[in-house]
Amino acid sequence: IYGRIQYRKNLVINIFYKCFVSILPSLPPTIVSAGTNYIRPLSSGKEAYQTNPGEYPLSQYIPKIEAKSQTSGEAQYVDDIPSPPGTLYGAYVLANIGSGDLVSIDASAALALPGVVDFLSAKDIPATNINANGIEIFASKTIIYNGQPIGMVLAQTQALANEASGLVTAQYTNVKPGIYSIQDAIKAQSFYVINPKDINSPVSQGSVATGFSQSDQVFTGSTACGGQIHFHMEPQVCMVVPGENSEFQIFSATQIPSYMGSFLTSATGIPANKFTISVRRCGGGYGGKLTNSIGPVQAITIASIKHRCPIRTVLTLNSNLRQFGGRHPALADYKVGVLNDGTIKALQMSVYVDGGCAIADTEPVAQTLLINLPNCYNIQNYYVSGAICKTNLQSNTYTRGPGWLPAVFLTENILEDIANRLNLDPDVVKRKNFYNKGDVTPTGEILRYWNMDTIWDQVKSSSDFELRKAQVAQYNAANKWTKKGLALVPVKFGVNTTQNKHSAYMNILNDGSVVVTHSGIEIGQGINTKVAQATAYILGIPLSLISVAPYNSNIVPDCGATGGSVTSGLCAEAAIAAGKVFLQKIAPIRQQNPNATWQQLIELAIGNGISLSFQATVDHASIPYNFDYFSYSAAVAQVQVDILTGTVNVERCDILFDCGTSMNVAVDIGQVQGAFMMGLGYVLTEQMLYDPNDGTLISDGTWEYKPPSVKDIPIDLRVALLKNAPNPVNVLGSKAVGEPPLCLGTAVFLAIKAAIRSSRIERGLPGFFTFYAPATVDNVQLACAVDPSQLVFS
Amino acid sequence: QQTLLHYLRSPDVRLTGTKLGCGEGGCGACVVTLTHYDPKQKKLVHRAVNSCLFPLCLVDGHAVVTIEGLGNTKNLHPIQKTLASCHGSQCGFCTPGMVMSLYSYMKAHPEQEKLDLEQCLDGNLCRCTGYRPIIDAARILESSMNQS
Repeated sequence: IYGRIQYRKNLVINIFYKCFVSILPSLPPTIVSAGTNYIRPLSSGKEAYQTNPGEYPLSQYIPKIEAKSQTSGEAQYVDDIPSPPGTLYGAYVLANIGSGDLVSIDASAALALPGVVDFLSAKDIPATNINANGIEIFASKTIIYNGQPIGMVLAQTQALANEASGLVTAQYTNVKPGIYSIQDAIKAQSFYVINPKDINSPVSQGSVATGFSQSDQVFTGSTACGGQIHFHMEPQVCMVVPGENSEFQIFSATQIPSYMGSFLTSATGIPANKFTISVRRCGGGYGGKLTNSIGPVQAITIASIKHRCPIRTVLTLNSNLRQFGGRHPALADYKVGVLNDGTIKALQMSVYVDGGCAIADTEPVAQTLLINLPNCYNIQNYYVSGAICKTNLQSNTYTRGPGWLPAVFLTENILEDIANRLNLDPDVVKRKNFYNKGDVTPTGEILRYWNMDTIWDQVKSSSDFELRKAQVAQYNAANKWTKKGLALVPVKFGVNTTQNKHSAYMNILNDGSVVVTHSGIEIGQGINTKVAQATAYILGIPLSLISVAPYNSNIVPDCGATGGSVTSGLCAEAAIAAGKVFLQKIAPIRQQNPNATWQQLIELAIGNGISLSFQATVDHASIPYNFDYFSYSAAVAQVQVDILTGTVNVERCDILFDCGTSMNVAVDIGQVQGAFMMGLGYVLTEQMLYDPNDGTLISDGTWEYKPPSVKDIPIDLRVALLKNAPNPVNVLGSKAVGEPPLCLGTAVFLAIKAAIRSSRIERGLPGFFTFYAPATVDNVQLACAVDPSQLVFS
Repeated sequence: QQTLLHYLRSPDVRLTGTKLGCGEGGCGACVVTLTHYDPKQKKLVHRAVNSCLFPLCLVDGHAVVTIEGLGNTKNLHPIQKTLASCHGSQCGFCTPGMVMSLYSYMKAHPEQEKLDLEQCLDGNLCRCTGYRPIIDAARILESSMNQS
């Protein structure tokens, strides 16, 4: 709706041209495709995986244990929990300036509406006014971003609260121009002052000066990728129900219940054991329900203390997007030295990450980025430094694959740039620079387990890569205004299972049925199913006997967050360890009663005074490296690009993913497909847009922000899990799967870039060009740089 | 001013299977089936609507079917059963909308030889599955409908 003026002007002319092409007879064949629309055929997919019947229910293809509840509509999310009588509803009031001071707030118009009960602001906070992102729960004076919470309206219905929140006005002073992009921050040298060691900066190996001097060619370039909204389908939502004696029941869609207690205590002064936090599930998280989920719970708890009644809030999508940050945009300026055969002699990079208005979680993300560069490539002379930009935008936070995704994206763009400069095939250049098993990365990780060569060769073969390379070249020679592109991307993703501890608590009931409570949160990743499978496996009982209970802070308070692609594995490991505790206890009874059924065993156990409650905590010992293992994968993407309009059709993607020995192939294939699609959306259609004058978020809803829909997915999607590749260092031989596949979305971006490049070269433009993600229709078309004089009919 | 979604999820009605996602007609989590009798065509007309936008007052003269109306965990509708077994539901929040879009389309096109169920999912966003297993479920439903 807004801007994109040059694109629109180009489009008018180009569409007229397309129209004439579609009408005129006897045109040169290379022009004809400009006059036809791409007809998207029905999509299809293939899946390949391996199960191990000896281990069932582990490794089996089992839909989620909640599948039927979900497809029947019975599954209960926080907003489905009935409100107790007397519940009030909260709606945020947000600042609409990017930088300045709050002078006063006028809520009188809101409070005049019947049914509006109160307006809460900073003065209502009993103790410390700070949320988990280091930003005030309600602003007291300083405004640091457009969208910062300044208060909350309470009303008898959510609709009324939402309406009333729009009637609250605020007065500001000292309104200053703010910084609203990573490029502006770099220009203004607006960086957070940090200890570079905290983000592993700089990473240095060998001597880049020597490497450049030994190179056939040295050149510079720039690559960047933007922000991304988590876009969990379920909004931010929470409810607090007060009980007696300052006790509170909290229902929250959160991935980080273990932090919730301490932040509630800090805001209210009430000790943590008064809060019972219960989480059944989240309707998606992706990191958006980590620290972001805590502020609303603090706000409604403060409201509940003041009004002594249940309080509930469901944030509108607009309120959510204006208030909370997402993925950290990243930009890299690089200088690289190469030999003419494609060998990389030296790489020097300055990497920038946009932390937003508050640094919050950015240091670990920037650190992850720096230590996962340079993806799969062994570059002996290497120097990378990082800086965190400070802007007046939302404070960015963990978003599925934080740090890892830009690390892969930035590196792969540099590799493709190198190939373009040298006129070599990118896949040849990439393979040439691969690590070998046993090599050490610039940050000291020893690649003891390297199977990228196998994966690379396998996916090239199964995707008919060489054949399709030739077909794409043929197509491009025969078509001037539509081009195809092909790209192959490897991903090396470091996993750290020592960062979080997780627990499982099991209770066997008198009838032999089992209830498991674990410290992870079901956010759609199938964790409850994997924990149930692990429990069934270790106890040797049917899956149907097992029930997984909602998270409860009274049972498993001390645990890590659900994130990092390690939680399912750790909770399954805890379930197995807990099961072993019980098996040990009943071993003597089992020996004496070898033919006893499970129910009989339980009765005997009760009779013998053996406790039917047992637990285990898994806390992997810290390691002297950043990662205890690596996840490897590769993807081939083929796209078709309309040079005149910028529209892209993703024709085919082939993915080969090393999942180790999958605990549940249905769940893991689903994770690969879903994560890949989130990565595809990141590079294709999802773009954060801000008003450059005051930082107002323009992409504040589904009208401007576009996650992929069913028509955006690859027409042909083939996913294979690598066979016969158990992970020697993780539970049951499995590997992380939640985040790594996002990085493979980079292949789609590079395929588009290749298609654009093909058209540019054909029309005499430089094949080397700067092209930042996302490849939206306007970005693509502008990069094609079509001159109207080129729109001819002969 | 009250929307159909708000009414369905209200304490008096308590049909919370239909979800509030974006609240602005862009995500499809709120889709339900609306049916009315068209005297000109002399038949029932079924359509999928975004209940988050649909004013309750305009439902006058219509029948509304929500996900609860199709089946429950003890007795699933074939659409629900197929979507579950294809692992077409991860976090599950888009799922009721997906089911109702499929149902609405199938009700609206009972005699069509080859249904394109992929077409009817255009207004339903899913962030978890990448759509592949949902489309696979739709294909199975297509072929079973063609058989019957």
